[in-house]
Amino acid sequence: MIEVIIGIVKLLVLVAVLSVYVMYATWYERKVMGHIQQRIGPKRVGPYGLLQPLADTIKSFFKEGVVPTRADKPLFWLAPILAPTFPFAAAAAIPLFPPIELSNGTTFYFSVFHSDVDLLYILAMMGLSGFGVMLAGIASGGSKYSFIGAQREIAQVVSYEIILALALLNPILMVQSLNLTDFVTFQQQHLWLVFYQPFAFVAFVIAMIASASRVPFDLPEAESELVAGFNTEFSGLKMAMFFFGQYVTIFVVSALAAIVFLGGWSGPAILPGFVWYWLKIFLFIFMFTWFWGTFPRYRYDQLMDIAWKKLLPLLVLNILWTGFALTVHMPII
Amino acid sequence: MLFNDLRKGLSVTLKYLFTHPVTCQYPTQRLNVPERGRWLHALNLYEDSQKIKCIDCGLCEEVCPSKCIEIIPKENEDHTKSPAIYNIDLGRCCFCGLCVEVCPELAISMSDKYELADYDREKFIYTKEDLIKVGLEYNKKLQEKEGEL
Repeated sequence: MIEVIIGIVKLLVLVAVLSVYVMYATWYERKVMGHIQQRIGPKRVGPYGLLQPLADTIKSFFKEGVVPTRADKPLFWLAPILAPTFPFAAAAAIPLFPPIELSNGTTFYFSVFHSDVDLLYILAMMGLSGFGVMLAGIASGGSKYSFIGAQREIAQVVSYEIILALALLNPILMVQSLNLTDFVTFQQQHLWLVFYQPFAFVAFVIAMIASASRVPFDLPEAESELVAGFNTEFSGLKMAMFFFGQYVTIFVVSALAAIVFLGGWSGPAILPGFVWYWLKIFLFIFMFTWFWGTFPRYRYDQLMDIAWKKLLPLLVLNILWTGFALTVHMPII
Repeated sequence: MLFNDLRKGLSVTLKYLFTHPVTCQYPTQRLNVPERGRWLHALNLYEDSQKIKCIDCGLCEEVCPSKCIEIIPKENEDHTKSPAIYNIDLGRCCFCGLCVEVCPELAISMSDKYELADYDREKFIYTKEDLIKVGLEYNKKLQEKEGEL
C-alpha cells in the first residue's frame, strides 16, 4: 500500500517537474534563439519575460478548438492525447535525482518506474511516440501538409529508431546491464563511456535529434515547406499537447545521453552529484537549441541515407569491434 | 576534419550568442537621427530680439512642390514684414527640404522631431506658434549638445 502511495506521489512530482520544465524550456529556447540572432527574445511579461510561458499557457486554454469537417473525429482527439503520453511514459524511467541509500539497507530511486530493463523500456516508449504524429496526419482528413508530415515522420522513425538502439548497444555490451544506475556505477569506476565509445556517442546524438524531430531533422513539421507539418490542423490546447510531447522527448533523450555516455551523476567531487547530472542534461538541451539556431534542414532522403547507408554499417562494425575487444580483454579505445 | 562545415557554423552562432543584441526598444529607446535628416520644420527667432527671422519673401511658398505652405504677411510698425500666419500642412508635405534650401534669411530649418502621427487631418496643419516652439526646443537641444562638445 505504501509503495502505491509513493508511486503516485512520484508520478505527480514527475508531471509537475516536466510541466514546469516544458514551460520554461520554451522561454529559454526563445531567449537563446533571440540572442543567437542578436535579438532580445521575450522581455515584456514579467522581468526578463519570465512570465511569458504562463501567459502562453493561459492563451492556449482560451484558443478556439477548430476541428476540420473532414477530420476523423475520434482520431483527431486521440492523436494529441497519445503524442505526450509515450514520451511521459518514457520519462517515468528517467531518474530526476541520484538514488539514495536508506538507513534500512534499501535504495530509494527517484524515478517513477525502476527496473533492470530501464533502457529497453525507454527505447520501446520512444519507438511508440511516433504514433501520435502518425495519427495526427491520418486524422487531419486529407490535409496535404499534415499527411506529408506524418509520412515523413514514419520514414524518420524507421531510420533513427534502429540507430538509437544500436548506438546504445555498445555501452550495454560494456556495462552488461540495462539498468541506468549500473551505467553510472560503471562510469564511476572507469572513465565516462564517451571516451570508450566516441563514435557510438556521435551516432546517438544524431539519432536523438531525429527522435525529438528537431533541427536539422525536423522533417515532420518543416515550417518552411509544410506550414506546420502534422499539427497544421490542430489549434489551442491540442497543438500545445504536441509541443508538450516534443519537449518531454528532448528531456528524455538528453537525460539518457547524460546517463549513458557522460556518466550521469558521476563527476569531480567539487559539485554534488545531482548538480553534475542536471548540468549535463542542460548541456544537451542547450545543444538542441544551438543546433536549431545553426543548421538548415536535411531532406528526408538524406536522413535515410545517413541512417541506413552510413551509420548502420559503421555501428555494426563498431559493435563487432567492441565485442571482439571485450572477449580478448583489450582496453577499448 | 570530420563535420568541418558544421563546426564552423556552430562556432559562428556561439559567437553571436554572446554579442549584444541590436534591437532598439523603440518607445523606450530611440535611435539618434542623422544631423542633416529632414524631419519636422522649425521657424527660427533672432537670439537677441526674439523676433521671427522670416521676412515674408514667399520663396518657400513658391518653391514648395506640394503647395503645403501658406503665408499671410503683415507690416510691422518699423516697416519690416513678418508673417501673420505661417501654416505648413504636414498631411501634404513631402519633406523634400526645398523650403529650407531656398530661405534667404535661414528662418526655416528642420528639427529632429519625427513622430508626427495623429488622429485628425486638421492636426497636421502646424501653425506659426507650433513651428516657433519646435525651433526653440531644437535650438536649445543643439546648444546643449555643443556645450557637451
